[in-house]
Amino acid sequence: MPSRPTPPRPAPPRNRFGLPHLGLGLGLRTVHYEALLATRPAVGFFELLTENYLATDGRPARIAEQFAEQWPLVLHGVSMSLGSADRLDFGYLRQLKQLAERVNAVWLGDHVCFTGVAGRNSHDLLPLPYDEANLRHLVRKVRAAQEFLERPLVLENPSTYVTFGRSTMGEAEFLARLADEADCALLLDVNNVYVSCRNHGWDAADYLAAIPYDRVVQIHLAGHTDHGTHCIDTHSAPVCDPVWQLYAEVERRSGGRSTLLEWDEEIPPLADTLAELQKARRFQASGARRLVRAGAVGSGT
Amino acid sequence: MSRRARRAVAPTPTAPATSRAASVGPLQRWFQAAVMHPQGSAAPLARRRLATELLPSATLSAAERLDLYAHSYFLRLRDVLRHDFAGLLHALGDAEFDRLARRYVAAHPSRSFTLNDFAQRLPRFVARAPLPPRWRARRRFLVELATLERAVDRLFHAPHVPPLAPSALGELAPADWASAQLRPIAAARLFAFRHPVNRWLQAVYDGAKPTPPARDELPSFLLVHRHEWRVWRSTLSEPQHALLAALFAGVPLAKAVQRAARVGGKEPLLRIGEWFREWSGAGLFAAIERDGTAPRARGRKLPGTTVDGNSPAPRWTETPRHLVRTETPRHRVRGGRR
Repeated sequence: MPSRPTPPRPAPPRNRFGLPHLGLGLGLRTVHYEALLATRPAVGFFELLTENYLATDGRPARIAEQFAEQWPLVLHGVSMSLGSADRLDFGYLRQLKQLAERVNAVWLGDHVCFTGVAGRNSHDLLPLPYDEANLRHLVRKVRAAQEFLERPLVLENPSTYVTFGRSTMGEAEFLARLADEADCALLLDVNNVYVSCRNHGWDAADYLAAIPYDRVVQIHLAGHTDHGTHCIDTHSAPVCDPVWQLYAEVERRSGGRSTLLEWDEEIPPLADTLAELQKARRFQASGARRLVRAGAVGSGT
Repeated sequence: MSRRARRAVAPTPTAPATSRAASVGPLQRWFQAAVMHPQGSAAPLARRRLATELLPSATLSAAERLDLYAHSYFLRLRDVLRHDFAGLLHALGDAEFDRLARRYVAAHPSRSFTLNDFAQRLPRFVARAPLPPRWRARRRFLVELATLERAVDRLFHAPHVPPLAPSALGELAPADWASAQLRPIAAARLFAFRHPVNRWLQAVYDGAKPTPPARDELPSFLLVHRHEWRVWRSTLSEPQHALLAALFAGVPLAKAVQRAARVGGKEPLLRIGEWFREWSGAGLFAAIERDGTAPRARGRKLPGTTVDGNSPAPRWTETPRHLVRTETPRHRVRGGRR
């Protein structure tokens, strides 16, 4: 009996911005510079922490150029402070735009948060209440930043540790409305989803169900520290099993997105970091199989 | 296109009207003030609105949740200082350094998107900060140590200026020697310290755990510069320092050598060729400028260019890269209550 032909694997749906699927990437860290340049492993892309490559004309600037010659780069910032009551810092945006041009960044982004107000910078991703006033304010600033940068921003869900009494909607709903009304893209940090859901008692499945995947262009994976009473997004450990399961679900829902591993504390040698990144393939395959199965059933009946 | 050219500015657009800022600003200012306050949730300003603004979780009170941010704020900035000032940290010890850092963070909160300049006021701050008794008499040493460590970080990020080829000096016509001005690269600084801070700092880098230096002062002279993307520290003799200080100030070569001779006698005249070969090879100079109005010394050789001295070469020490902060700490190191 002839075997049934394998259904063609569907191409991952394109996001609405037409941004490419870059495969599996790594957050670029100084401890790996030399090993990466010497061994040139098969990494789909690297993510640069924007602020580390701004306001410097030294080695970081040279390194960015060296990596840009060999790999696709994306820029991921922490200081755009889009949610802040302060005005946009156009000096910062101008430098960001120039850096993006210099390294030919495929996309650039930041976080749904504020990092400071009244001229100060906490250098942390401070949380916003999820209410109409903050949504309206954020939409205006995201639109203005995008207009200046001449490209869509890719904004990440932060890990959060407090709940504001004045919030009127959930985080996923806030992100979905922001993305729609500001016409921006999203970076879904799956570890942050897990951490925030643990800290706030939210249901991660409900969270993921509310995300508009046609606006998601990148996924973050990372490890965290579980203190029992709360989780901290430390990026200091391998990705835990529950986060891998959430990732598989996101892959299933999205059809596959550029996926990046972050590791910022207790960073292991490059080989171990790459091995952790390669684990993602298992869950991508799992998600793809389920997607194919669902598609086959749907088309065959 | 050069990097400088690429940095050509575009007109600044008008910032978007932030009519909504009035409604989101007060809460942000309160939250930030509580996070940045050394007492965190226990500060009176934090307590006033805590119960109305923040909710508890199933496992943490609203105050405990706020303190996750407050603790992280200080620890993150403290760690930036610890990373950039490993020598000062070793000198003061963990507890005293943390006290200093807490005062500094409170006095000079960051106002920039980059942490590269966060510590720029620390050397001056050390000059006035309360210190334990054993360090009061050596405050000058601590200030000099902080000054050196700050310089290393600053030069790591300083503007890049392509250095002259090492052969460029040799190609200078003899007639131009007297009036030539040697312009250093932007990433170079000279120091005249009253203490051997570089030697002491190197001992820290080497893990030697040096003890506080003797109270007797021992002057030291130092060149710190960046070459091939690395920051180097090199000890200088006093005449070498005098010569470079004059050149860095734009003094023509002949007069600069005269100034060096005032503190070094004949040594500068005998060794100047050797010195310039070393400095040129290390990428210290960016340009030779000739002053057309200055009288030319016809046919005169650069003093000392044919003399090969026997003194040991300056000590070139690369600042370990892992001690030069390049990563903006991004993720929190939170010591929340359990």
